[in-house]
Amino acid sequence: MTASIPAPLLSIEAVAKHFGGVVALDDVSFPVQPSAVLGLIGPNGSGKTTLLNVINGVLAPDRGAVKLAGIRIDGKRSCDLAAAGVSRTFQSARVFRTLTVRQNLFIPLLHRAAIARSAAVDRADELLDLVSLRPHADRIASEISGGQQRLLEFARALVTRPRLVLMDEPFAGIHPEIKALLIRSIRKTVAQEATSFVIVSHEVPELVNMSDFMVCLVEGKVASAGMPLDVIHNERVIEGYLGRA
Amino acid sequence: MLEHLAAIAADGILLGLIYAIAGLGLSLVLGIMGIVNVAHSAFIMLGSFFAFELFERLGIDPIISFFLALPVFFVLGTVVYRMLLTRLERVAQAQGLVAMFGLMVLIENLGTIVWTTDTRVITASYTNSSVVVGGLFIAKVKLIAGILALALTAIFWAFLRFTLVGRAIRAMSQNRDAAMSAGIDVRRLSTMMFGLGIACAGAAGVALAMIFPFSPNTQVQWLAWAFLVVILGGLGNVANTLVAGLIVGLLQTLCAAFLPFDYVYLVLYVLLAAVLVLRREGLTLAVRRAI
Repeated sequence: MTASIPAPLLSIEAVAKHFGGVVALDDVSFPVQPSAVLGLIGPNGSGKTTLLNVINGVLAPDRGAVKLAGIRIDGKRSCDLAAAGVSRTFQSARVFRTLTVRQNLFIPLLHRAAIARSAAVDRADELLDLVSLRPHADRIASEISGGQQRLLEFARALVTRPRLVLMDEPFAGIHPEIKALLIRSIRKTVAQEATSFVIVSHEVPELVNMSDFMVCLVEGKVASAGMPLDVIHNERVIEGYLGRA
Repeated sequence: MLEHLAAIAADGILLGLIYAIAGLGLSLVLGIMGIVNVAHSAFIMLGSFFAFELFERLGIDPIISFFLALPVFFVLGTVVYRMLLTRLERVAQAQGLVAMFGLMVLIENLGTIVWTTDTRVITASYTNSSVVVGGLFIAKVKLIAGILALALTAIFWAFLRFTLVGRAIRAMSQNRDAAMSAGIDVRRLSTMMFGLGIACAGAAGVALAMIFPFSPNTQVQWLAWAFLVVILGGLGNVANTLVAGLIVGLLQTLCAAFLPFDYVYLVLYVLLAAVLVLRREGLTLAVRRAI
């Protein structure tokens, strides 16, 4: 008797991307399983954000394919991908700063889905509870702290119940308490909503702790992919990114 | 003397309200979408001739034409966006600017072919009459055009501030990538926003035609006026555009009252140059776009 392996939610298949003569991604392949956290690490300039941009439709790959539940999504627009269940956060939090905290969540939801306003507001409040921003719901988004804006952006990424969330450096430069809250919220979302995450971060210990699978990119190539502890002890990863203690 | 000044101020305010809507579409399209629509004034000119044709051929009052221009020019704007601007999304802004300049020249020349360079006026039943407001004689046509312009400005402000689409447009203006990632259909909103900008230009053309003589060539002057309003008021802000329009209107009437006519344009263009040099983001000093 053999255990069945679930079909991957996301498949990156031999993806390549060049910017002029610079190779940003070269033959990158790996799967992301449903209800899983994939940690994506690598030195600066290794192609992590480029890969998120390719998955998210901001960039089209030069070669290869990106598939969501078996369907090719590379080259599609971000807003179409959002409808298909892919959302993301950015390196620096990009909130809609003149809208209120609550409006940041329910305006995109109302704009996209045929949903009653009260249901959209309820969903917004549910997520504000998740990230402990409910007391700030009616404040203008530009007035809350940078860490809170990061939480708000995370909540906005979840508002449409996506299947996959891409997060670019979510822990960079935020207070440890907010970081802990963010990690708790990600774990809770994986457990309760069966959402998958691809998280790019230099905070390797946190990422090892929360990831089910890890990929290290070095110079646009996959240096190692597998279980987090295996990846961080891989010779090529130590050589190309982590260094020797 | 005081009464004379009050009359000048009232005249300037009413003109300023019209200048505000002449600049509003340009400001919103530039501020929200980043498109330098130098063809904006060509659509203002088309708005003037739209009112002229309806008045001359069908006897339709310019007040009605003002409201008719909104849907007609909205559709025209969406067609231009879909046919031209979607093809310019990935090109450098300078190339987009050249394309819009080409569109302006095309519209102006088509206008010259259709209407020649003769100067036209619209003489409605109220064009040469006045009303007394607070002891001041005010040209009825300016009062009507000013009220229409103020109403349109208020509608735009309320639309962007209180409606779902307006809020989504504000979100798009603040961060296009984030809006797309949040599922907001940026292309659809951009089409709508450009259509609204052109609708505003068309309506402004009708309001201006109620007061000023016009020909296909006068659009160049309105382009300068619209840019002056935008540069003074900053980008994409309805309230600031209104204030900037009022400043231009007041300045124009004050200069016209106390200086030889030729100096009016000199003062306004010097103001334009000064604002460009001293405050590149407009009087609001807005570093970022905000509406």
